[in-house]
Amino acid sequence: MSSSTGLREGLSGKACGFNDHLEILRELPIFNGVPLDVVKVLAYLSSVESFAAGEALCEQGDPLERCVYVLCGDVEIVRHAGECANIMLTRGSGYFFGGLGLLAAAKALYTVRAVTPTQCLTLGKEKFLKTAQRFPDILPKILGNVVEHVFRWEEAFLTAHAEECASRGGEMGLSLF
Amino acid sequence: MKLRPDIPDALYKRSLFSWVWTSNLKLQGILLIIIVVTVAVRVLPLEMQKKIINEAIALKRVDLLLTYCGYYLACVVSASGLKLAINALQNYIGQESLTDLRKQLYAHILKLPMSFFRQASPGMVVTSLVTEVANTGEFVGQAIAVPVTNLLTLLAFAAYLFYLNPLMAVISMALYPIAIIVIPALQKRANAANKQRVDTGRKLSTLIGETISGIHEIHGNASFRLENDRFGVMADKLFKVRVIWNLYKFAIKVSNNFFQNLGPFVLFLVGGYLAINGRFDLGALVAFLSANEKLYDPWKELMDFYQTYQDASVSYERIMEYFQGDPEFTAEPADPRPALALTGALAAKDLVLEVPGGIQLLKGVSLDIAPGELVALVGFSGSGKSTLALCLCQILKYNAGKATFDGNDIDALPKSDIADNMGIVSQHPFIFEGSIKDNLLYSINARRAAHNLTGDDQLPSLDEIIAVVQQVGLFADILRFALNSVFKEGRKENLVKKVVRVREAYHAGHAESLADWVEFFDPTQYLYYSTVAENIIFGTPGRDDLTPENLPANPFFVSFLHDAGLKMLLVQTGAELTARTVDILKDVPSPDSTFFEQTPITMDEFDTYRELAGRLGRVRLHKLSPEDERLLLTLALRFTPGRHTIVGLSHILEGLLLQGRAMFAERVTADMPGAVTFFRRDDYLYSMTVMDNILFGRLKTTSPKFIDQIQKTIVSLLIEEDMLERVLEIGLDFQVGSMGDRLSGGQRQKVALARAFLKEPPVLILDEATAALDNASQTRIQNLLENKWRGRSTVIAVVHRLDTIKNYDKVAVMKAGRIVEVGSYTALMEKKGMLYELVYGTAGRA
Repeated sequence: MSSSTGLREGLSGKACGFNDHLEILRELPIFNGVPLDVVKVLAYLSSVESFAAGEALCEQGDPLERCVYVLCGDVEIVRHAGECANIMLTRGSGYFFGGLGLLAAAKALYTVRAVTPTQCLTLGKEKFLKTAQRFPDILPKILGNVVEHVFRWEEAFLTAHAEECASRGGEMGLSLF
Repeated sequence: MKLRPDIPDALYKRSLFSWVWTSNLKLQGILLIIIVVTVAVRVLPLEMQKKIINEAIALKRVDLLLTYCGYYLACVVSASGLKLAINALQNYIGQESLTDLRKQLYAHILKLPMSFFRQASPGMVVTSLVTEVANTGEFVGQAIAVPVTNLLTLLAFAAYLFYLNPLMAVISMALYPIAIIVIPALQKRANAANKQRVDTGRKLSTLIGETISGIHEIHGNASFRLENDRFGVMADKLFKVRVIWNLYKFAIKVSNNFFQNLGPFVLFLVGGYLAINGRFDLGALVAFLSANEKLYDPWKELMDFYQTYQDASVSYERIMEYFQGDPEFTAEPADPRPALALTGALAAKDLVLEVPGGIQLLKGVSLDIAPGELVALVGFSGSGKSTLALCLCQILKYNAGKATFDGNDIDALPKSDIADNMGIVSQHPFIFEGSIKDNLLYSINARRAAHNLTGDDQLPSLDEIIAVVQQVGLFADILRFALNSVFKEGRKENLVKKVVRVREAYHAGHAESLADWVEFFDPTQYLYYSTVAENIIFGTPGRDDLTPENLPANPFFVSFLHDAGLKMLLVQTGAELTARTVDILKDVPSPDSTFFEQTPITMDEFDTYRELAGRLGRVRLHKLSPEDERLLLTLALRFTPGRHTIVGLSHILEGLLLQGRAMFAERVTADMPGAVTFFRRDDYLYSMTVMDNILFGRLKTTSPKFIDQIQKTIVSLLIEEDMLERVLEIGLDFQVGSMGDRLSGGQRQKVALARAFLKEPPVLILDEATAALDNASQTRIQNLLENKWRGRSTVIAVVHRLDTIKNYDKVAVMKAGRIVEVGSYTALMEKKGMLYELVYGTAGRA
């Protein structure tokens, strides 16, 4: 991982990363409703990191210490079960993960690995929490966004897998938590 | 100092006056003697005044005039000297008592039960200890000196007045009882008005806050007139209250002056009449007037002292009320004895912990743990597993049942025995400001302090510390801290030579693989991860005025920047950095150092640059003051494009800076040869970190994984040069920052684990102590517990991740404050009870 390649391209031109970071964070659903001045601070505290192909952005079982937005490149989401490693899906530019890890101590359930050289915008948990301590009003908003996401996700899942869900009722109901 | 019998042992039961009795009574005695002398010295000039007029002037005797004036002068000088001595003693006694109170209060607070700290706000504790107790110190310092001095002075002056003329003395004194009635009455009303002012002010603040928060609604309804009316009513009320409050304040002031000025009027009227009729001599009248005037000073000082007493009483009562409470456990054994050496057998029998409100967190828990056993406490959230662990290590006090440690009732054991025999690691361990080493040795140093050990007694050796650091996986972090340190020129010469040798060996083997991750010190390339100043100088300055912090004020350097066409461009860059940083951080309340990692402005400088940003909006760059220009240049010279991404580095500036580098080298070589040692592969670069020196470049990545890879290769070279231990020692001195904020969550937890392991206690309590660790570190600690500590220490681990408990000797499953299952992992899983449900969920059980 490095903040070199793409950054150097940006540095040598007129472009300044900060405004782009701000735009990205403003459009993330998890920060919906967070005042612009606070998103500005979060964008400022974010940094660009590069990953070589095959390098893990996060490992299954490791604490989620940051949220990640893929700027360019492809990543695969892998779930290890015993000796098997199942590739669950592949995502590219614009993929965001790790938002829940900002809010509480959690360990990753998946390994996210770069398939191609990948550049990401990352925001560390400690930096996020320090900002949230200073602007506590943002936490209920972010929590509201998370709850909304959970409901929307489960509703879509139930609609798409209605029959399967009916037979596996005992495992459903995340939104009932 | 031994407390008097009438002073209770419990700090919060002590009266304010008790601190006067426990103050330095020897000094208080000396103070009293000085006061008596001072009073006599104060009265004597009045008699001299009388004698100068009646004897020296009336009889035209110059010799008497000189004699009496001499006495007068001696009295005035002595009175001033003695006053100074009184103040000095008063101050010393007060501050000594204040320190004594602070120390005792701090000791008391530390021993208060956990329930107090759950409710107490740290801010209140800080304010009480730092600010509010100051009133008490002031009072204790004044408690004897001020009332005695002023009462004695008043009495002495009154006696002297009676000696001169009893009738006039009575007339002049008659005003004071009136003042005693009038002024306190006014003060009482002023206080009431002040309270009303504060209440009204608060209501007004609430109204304003509400308005600002609901501004959307106000704009939406255009309710400007309505809101203005609401505000107007409140503002008018505040106006009336403030007028009344100020009137009472003025009335008090006027009354004081009135009574003070009325005195001479009565004296002139009656005294003048008596003097005209030959019943009172002129000298006595002058002395009378002087004495009457001087009566006011002790009177005023007594009034002020009363206020000090009132303030101190209020603060003191509030502090003692707040910190009311007794420790739940004794700190040390009643009779001094060596600490108990316990084996680690723990038992709980029907343990109950009830919190206010009748809620039971533990509902009769029983558990037996043999010495050296590895026990996991698992369960659902709120099941009481942490509570049980905390009861066993005396952090929490149980209400019923019994818990024993080697047969000793845990409730009755002194804290010192528990601390000597237990190591505790919590989920969110606290790290104190200081070095890593200070924190690693915290438990050991606490034990050493408790047993009055000095020197190296019971201190682990460096090898032992390094061994534990390796066991908990902190080795790489400490090595990183060491490699990031900067050596001062002339120091660690031996290490410096070795670092240069390591550099050569490292580059021979790894230079190619580093190219993508390291920005080498190449004179033809711009260095994005170095500051602008480092890019220009490209070497180690040998003179103070060429060090980065002094460059903006160095005329030689500033003139060079001008000639190189860089000055205005850098000032412009500084202005951009200022504007951008201030815009982002201006509304962040109390930003700490984290918020300044991505800007060249430091935390301490932020206010200066915030003001400068304001000026930049009004003044054009070329019209800025030299000081503002210097501030902007300072920022620009610190600008590191790879880190400070809030502003971009333009092609033009980059090109000019590269040309400037060459031009600067030429100019320095010509004008001040030897002032800069330019970067060469054979030299140690004193302005750079050890890592920069080894790499002969700067890392472009912050990835711990990549840095670990580099470090692993460096370690073998450090071992070859026999310098690993010395380097680690430097890393152990790394300052962790306030509350360890320069460490990550994982590093903090590793430090806490190492702290407990270094102590080698018979019992280790780990309360989700590996929760913040990555998989590899968690596995390392797990192996350590299973291989090193099993059988050697009893380990009680509150565990959340159930895949780590398979090899524990005993697993206790808790639910709703009760242990529902105890046994080995295999037995419990075969039973398919609660542990099985925890592992596989309710679906798995079904």
